[in-house]
Amino acid sequence: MTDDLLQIKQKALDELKDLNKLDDIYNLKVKYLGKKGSLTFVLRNLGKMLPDKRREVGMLCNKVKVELAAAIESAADKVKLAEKNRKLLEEKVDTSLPGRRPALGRLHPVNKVNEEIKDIFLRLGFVIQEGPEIETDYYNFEALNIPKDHPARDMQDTFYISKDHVLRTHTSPVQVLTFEKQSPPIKIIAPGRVSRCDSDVTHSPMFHQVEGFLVDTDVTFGDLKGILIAFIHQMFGEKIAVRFRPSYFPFTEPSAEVDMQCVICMGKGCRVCKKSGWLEILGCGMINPAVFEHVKYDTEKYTGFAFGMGVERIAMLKYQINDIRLFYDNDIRFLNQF
Amino acid sequence: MKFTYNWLKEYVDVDIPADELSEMLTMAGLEIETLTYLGAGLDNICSVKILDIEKHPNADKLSICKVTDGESEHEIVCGAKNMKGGDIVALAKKGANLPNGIKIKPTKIRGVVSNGMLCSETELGLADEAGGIMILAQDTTIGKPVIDILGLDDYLFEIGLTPNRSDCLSLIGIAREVAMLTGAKLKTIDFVADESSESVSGAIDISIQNASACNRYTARVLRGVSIKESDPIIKSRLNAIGVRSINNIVDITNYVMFVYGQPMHAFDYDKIMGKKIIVRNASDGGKFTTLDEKERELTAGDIMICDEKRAVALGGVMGGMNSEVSDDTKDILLESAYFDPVTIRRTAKRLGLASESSHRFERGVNPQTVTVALDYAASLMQKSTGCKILSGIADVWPVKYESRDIKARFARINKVLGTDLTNDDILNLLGRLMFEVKQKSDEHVLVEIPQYRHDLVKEIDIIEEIARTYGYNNIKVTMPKIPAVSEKRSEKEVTAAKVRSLLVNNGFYEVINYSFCAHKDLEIFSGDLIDRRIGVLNPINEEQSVMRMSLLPALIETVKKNMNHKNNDLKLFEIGRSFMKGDSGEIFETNRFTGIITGLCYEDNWSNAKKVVDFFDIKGIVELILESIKVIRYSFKGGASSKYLHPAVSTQIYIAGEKVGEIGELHPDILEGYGIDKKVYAFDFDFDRLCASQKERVVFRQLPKYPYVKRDIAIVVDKGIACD
Ligand SMILES: [Zn+2]
Repeated sequence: MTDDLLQIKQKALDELKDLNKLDDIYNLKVKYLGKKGSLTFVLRNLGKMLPDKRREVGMLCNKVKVELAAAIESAADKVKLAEKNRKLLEEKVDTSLPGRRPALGRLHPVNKVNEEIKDIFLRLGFVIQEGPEIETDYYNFEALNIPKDHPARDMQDTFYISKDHVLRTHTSPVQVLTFEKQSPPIKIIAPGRVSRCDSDVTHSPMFHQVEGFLVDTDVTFGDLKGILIAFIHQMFGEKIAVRFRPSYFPFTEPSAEVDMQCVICMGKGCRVCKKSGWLEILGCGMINPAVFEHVKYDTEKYTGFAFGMGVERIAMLKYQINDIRLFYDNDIRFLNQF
Repeated sequence: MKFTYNWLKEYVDVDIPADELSEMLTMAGLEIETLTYLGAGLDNICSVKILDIEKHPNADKLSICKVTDGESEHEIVCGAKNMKGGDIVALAKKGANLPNGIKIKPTKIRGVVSNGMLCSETELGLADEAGGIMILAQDTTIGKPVIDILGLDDYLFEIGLTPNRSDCLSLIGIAREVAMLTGAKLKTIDFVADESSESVSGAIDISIQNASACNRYTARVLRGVSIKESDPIIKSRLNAIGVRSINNIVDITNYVMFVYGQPMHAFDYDKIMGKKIIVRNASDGGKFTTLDEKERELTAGDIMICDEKRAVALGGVMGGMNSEVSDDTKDILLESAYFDPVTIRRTAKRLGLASESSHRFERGVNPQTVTVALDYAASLMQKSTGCKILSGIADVWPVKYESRDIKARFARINKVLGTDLTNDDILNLLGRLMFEVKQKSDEHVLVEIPQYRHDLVKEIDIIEEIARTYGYNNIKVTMPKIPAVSEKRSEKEVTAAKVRSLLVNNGFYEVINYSFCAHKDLEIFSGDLIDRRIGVLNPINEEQSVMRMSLLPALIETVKKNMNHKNNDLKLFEIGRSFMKGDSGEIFETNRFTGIITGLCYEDNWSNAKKVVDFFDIKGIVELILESIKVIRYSFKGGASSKYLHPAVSTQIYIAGEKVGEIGELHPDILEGYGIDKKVYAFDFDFDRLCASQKERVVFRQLPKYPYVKRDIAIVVDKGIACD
């Protein structure tokens, strides 16, 4: 009898080995463990045995039943898993195809750089102020210590709207507009469009400037250096060397041009910096007392500084763009690079 | 302002390397824009004598020159025809690397080995064209490097001079600056002018009728000049700085102008009628022919130099045809004057006649060297021609130049610069500047300003000079002590940032177009408002001749340009100003926010539907904009009023009953005008109104307890009734 049981078990396990369909496995389960199954048949006939034998066979029979049930269960699990995996594989996609995405546009590079400049000065505590693009001769020139018939007018080729209105040639008039309305302390940047009648690879008839000025008691040339070095370091990197050299602007005195170490060759000398290792980046100076006199500020009490930079120039250096006119062609192939 | 290093060394005892000097000048405010070595590419070229010329056996057009450099003989194949035996010429030997890029090595030319090349002036980079090889003067030493023969072992400096530094429009002025920077000693110019017994007073009578425009007029008369080629040194120095040599007399007036900064004019004395010079104002509408053969229309502000009968020069700007020095000129009237800067500037500007002369007068010449320069020029002319110099200077000097003193306070200097210079430091710096200290106390110093420094008038000017001499880079870096305040952006800045980022994240490209546009753009887009346009008086071209009144024309132009590059799917926007005149001529600048879309809705992709944009795409964007900035109570009403929009596919945008913009399809007729055959949609906001409109204050509302219930209701209405 025990041999029969072991034979049944072996047979069942042998049959199970070849099965890979869930239905066949369930059929096998019925065949051996079901109500009319072979094992059930043995169990049912236990009563006809001697008690001792009956216990022995009964125990073995149960053991076989448990073992078979477990084997069948595990075979069924295996098949289920294989089936699940097969189904997943059927869902395979070509992940190398490009993604489906919402279209992304771009900010104009000039405005992008403009925003960066504004952010840096906001962090340095400056307020943003704007002025009109069409300015009077007085605010654009006279009040900034550039009288009529002064050779300094040659520094900026001007578009005229009428005898006394011009397209502002710089955003410096915002200085005077502000001084007329406000008393120190003043800490302002004035970004905006300016125009000059000039057009070639490095000049556009319209471009963007950021003017900045700070007026208070005890503002020094050293402070001017401090603010501008902080700006250049934030804009171009902490390690960039900066130098100040004397220059001339009628509305500042002492006036300076600020050069920074060439960001392309890191000061070794290249085509962009004309082998000098330096790039002219902005103009600045202590506000000329003559400007304060126009707005009736006490020139003994207050000192201040002003600076101005071309946004396109900075963008051109930052992105190594060689023709300013590209900014105003608005060619998508250009714009989508930023 | 250009000069060469060797020329400068005549006036200051300096011998540092040229690049070091260049750096020093730049850091002192005289920015050296270019520094060029004039002998570049002229190594291994020396003078040789042609001993013999033979025909090339295998080529008709070539000859073989036997030349000697004094030590050895060479055979050179040459294609030029202008030389003969005995001529001294320039031979580029093996190893020469000419300015035009040619490298010299022995080469076989049609079977004959040529050991170098005989050079023309073009090949040496000395001239743009040449009629053969360069023939050197007969007395040139042979075997000498051409660099030395031509004086090209020299550097050309070009300063981008700022308008305030008129004192440096002269070699003398630059020498002064170099002396200040390096401590080198200035050299004096030694010259002699042998005066004859005949006095100038009998030869010329000068009177000034407009003393405010002509502060001083001086002249000398020279008899028996000969007009010829200039002295080689003068010629080569003028050449080096790009001034064309004309003849000895004209060249000397130019040369002295560059040395002293004093413009000068030479008249043919025999053409001055009545031995008289009268300086007066021109009369309005008068005509005068300048020596460039152009007839100029005059105004009363111009300074005329006249003889007894007629005008002979446009004072300080240009001489006249009628009194010009010519090859037959025997006697000369040499003028050296001080003209009022503003008067000269007005004339030069109005006539578009900016010359080296007017450039200096309008910035102010040195009143102290008016006659020094005159004497120097006369002496050089005498040296060149052996002419007689009449004794004395005819000098009319109605307005004397007054010397100026400036008081500078020691404490103020340190307060502005943020330095802690001692009084002695400051006095030392003033000494380096060669400023005379007239008076000093513990608090201040009184400085006498040299007459050549027209730019120094106030205390702040002295402070700048101190700072410049001390060195900007020696001033300590500090931070302003202004109290820290946390600053935020204005409502408009914030709104702009929001909508720009919204649009960019929805596939829009930001563009920047010019603030000016073409007149035709206004005709199409501004309707009746065109009368309120603002024109530019001096535009570069018609395309930029009037201030824009709408951002749309340029945006459509941008669409068109991109379509030309096969980019047909476009979403563009700009935030910028439009310009308009008010009822009484006042100027309005309004910020506009304008966008435009055309082509495919979604990126062209393997899986996206190729849907083309329509009105609801642009409307959707507008709704998105309004909602993103929390505008409440916006609505769309009626068709658009603008003629450039499709009458049936357009509407107006309102916020709280106020019109803030329009959206719609662009009128097909307009697009046709641009050559665009696709549908294009646009929105156009008055950005200032959009920013000013009332925004919703965000307050949290309790979430509903139950999920919402959805019901479909269909109502049949007339076709004409709008959805809302
Ligand atoms: Zn570089």
